[in-house]
Amino acid sequence: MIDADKLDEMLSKVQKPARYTGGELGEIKKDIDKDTLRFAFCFPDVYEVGMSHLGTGILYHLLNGIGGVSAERCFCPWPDMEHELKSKGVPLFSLETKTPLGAFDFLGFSLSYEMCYTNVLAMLSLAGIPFYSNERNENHPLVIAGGGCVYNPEPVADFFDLFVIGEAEESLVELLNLYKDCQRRGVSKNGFLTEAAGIEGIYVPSLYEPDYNEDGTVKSIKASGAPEKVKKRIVRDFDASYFPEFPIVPFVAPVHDRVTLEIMRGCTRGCRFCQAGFAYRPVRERSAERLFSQARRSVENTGHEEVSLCSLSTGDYSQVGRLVGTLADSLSGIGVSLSVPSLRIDSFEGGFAEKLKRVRNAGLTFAPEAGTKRLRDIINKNITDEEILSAVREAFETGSNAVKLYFMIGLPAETEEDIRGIADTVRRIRDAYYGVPAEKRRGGLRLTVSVSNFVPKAHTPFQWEPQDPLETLLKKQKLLISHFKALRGVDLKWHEAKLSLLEAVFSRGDRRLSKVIEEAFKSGCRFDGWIELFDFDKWMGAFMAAGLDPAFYANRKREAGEVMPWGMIDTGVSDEYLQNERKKAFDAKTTPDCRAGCLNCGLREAGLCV
Amino acid sequence: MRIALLFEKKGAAKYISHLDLQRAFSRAVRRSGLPVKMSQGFNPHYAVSFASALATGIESEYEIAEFETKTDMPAPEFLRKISGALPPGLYAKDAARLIDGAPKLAAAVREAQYAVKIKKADADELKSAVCDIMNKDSLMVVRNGQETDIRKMIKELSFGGGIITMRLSAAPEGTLRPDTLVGELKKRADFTCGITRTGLYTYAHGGTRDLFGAFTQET
Repeated sequence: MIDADKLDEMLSKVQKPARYTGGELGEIKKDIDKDTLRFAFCFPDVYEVGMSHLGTGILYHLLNGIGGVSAERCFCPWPDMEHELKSKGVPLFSLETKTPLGAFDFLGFSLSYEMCYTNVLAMLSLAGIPFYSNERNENHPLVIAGGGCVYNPEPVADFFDLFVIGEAEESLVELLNLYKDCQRRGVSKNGFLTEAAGIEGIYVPSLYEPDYNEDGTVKSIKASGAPEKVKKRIVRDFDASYFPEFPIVPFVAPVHDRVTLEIMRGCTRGCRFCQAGFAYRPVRERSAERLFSQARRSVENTGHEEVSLCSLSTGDYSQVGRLVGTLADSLSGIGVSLSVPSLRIDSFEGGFAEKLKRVRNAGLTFAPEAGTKRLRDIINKNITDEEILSAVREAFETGSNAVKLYFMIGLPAETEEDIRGIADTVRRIRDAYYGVPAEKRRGGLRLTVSVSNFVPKAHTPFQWEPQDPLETLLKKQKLLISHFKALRGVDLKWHEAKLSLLEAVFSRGDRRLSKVIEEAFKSGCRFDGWIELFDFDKWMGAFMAAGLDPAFYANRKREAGEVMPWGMIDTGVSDEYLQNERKKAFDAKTTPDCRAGCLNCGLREAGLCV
Repeated sequence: MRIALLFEKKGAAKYISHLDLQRAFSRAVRRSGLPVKMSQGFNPHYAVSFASALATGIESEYEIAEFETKTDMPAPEFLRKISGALPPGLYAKDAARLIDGAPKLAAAVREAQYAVKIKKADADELKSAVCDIMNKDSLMVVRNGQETDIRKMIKELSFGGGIITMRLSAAPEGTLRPDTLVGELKKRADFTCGITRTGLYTYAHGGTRDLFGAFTQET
């Protein structure tokens, strides 16, 4: 327990002190005795971001529902609080019981963004826990991680005792059961780790040893006492799987301040740049009836004024019209609004925009991703210009005047034509708005265009592709901006290219990068995803100090036969399938959605298709 | 009908900012199912207003929230339902119907009282610090880059039983935060403390009256 007076003294000096107090409605504080298994969910970003993370919320309530297990929360302290903790010599502590992290059995980090890695070290450092797993002993907590980033865990492999690959609802419980069992049997930490490697979906990096070629590429990965491939876990019966209907209601407004319902997992559209589209297969839906009941109970319990539907592609939900229509009707009756993000353009067929009218006017979001049909075929984003225009026209005719569009630059096989195509597409959308009769329009058009930079991701057909060098990306951004000069009234946003470069390094990097992360941390890097705190020069210094070249990871085209650093992680999608998709990409051949017929992506053979 | 709720803000809840407190109350109202009126507009929310914003980090035994309900209901029923819906750290103490023609409480508040519980201090040093301030005709402090005389905003300042009691101006034309005065005392004496608001007052019926009692009906 942290001294209450000391805590007060620190909290009186920081911004948003309620980030560190806990005590929110819905927080769970269990009775703790010497036999309690204590698990701290550690989120390597600030409270407001972490409290918006659905996966952590699910697992927090799931674990707290188990007898003998107590789960608490800890978020990365903002630099002002980090300073207070350090200057007062107070170790980083959990929100629920103010227990120093070192006293827990497990620290479970959620890794959902590569640029949070220095925050992991900041949290360990403030807790007084050594960074490297081989420097920790039996008395330290087990430091584990899961989340989207662990499909390539290698850049942080040396920091963690084990990773939970895929959906953790079942494997995490199995892991904790094994831990209790090992405690009873008096098994050592290493003994536990070896046994844990036998659980499907658990990757214990210390049991794998990569060997490198002279050119720096991975030569081989040797597994000892562990399976050669770690297959990701999925929840087969997603409809019936656990979902918390009484989530914590934060006092400090989180980024997503609302009830979030998870309607579906997986996406089978197969956009070739998208890691989630391959790694999170197969598609599973939660029944509309269950969602209606979850919506009602969650609103009753939390008092939230908004419900949001969460999935990779909401328009692909098989009964999306009924779901949205019924929910919007029942919620509006009690003054609660519904928001529906992640819609594909082609879900707008058949009067869907009309249904959305009753949904809160948060504007519509479309992601054409590329500016020309040719490039969209290459990335398998199967939408035509006419589909884009008819979708926005329908939205405009039903009274919408706010549209957000997402595009990418730097995609494989991109030309200057494709970049101009982004501006041309936006121009046609703008013209479509003013083509709608004035009496149907609602004021001026609010058009926001966000352009990110392509980051090649592990486990996708583009995992072999280079990212454009930084100078090329910057040149392309300039070209893009020049095309938008003539487009008055359009709000153009673009992603920091230097950040994209680092994302590309860590999304496909290897184990040697842990040194870079450590160096960056030591030189003061924190919250690197926050542009106001991002310091590119410090990162370049860290690469220099570690003797590694970012271009080797980000900008190099990889050979078809190259051993990938994440070779031990198996998503179920076969290498042949990814290779074939890559080939089809460069032939500009599209691949349909597999719900119309199996495409043999490998999931079925892996026993992961449902 | 208009109803006033007297509540406490204690423990970790003292760190809830004023803006977050409004949201917390709006959600408590939805959970309670009480027929509170909603604001009109783009993002409708329950109309809850507070008599006086409390600085973040200060506890309170005396906060007042004001509601307008769509239908009439007995105040004890309102109290019971909102009590069951408030988050930890916010505790309802009393609810009463506002009398007809009562002003907005935020417009009626004139003074706020605080109990500053002293933890570590030299009592004599602190006594003389209190005397020093009370014997002054003016006390200039810099607030938001401006020199202000806060002496006339101190209505009462006394020390006894390990507690400094301060009654400070909380009127729309001039509000003195208790931590500003604590800061002035700390320049004169070395001590640590915790601050709790203990009362809000209005000027009515020819005197200084308890704000909650002045405009509510007996139940």
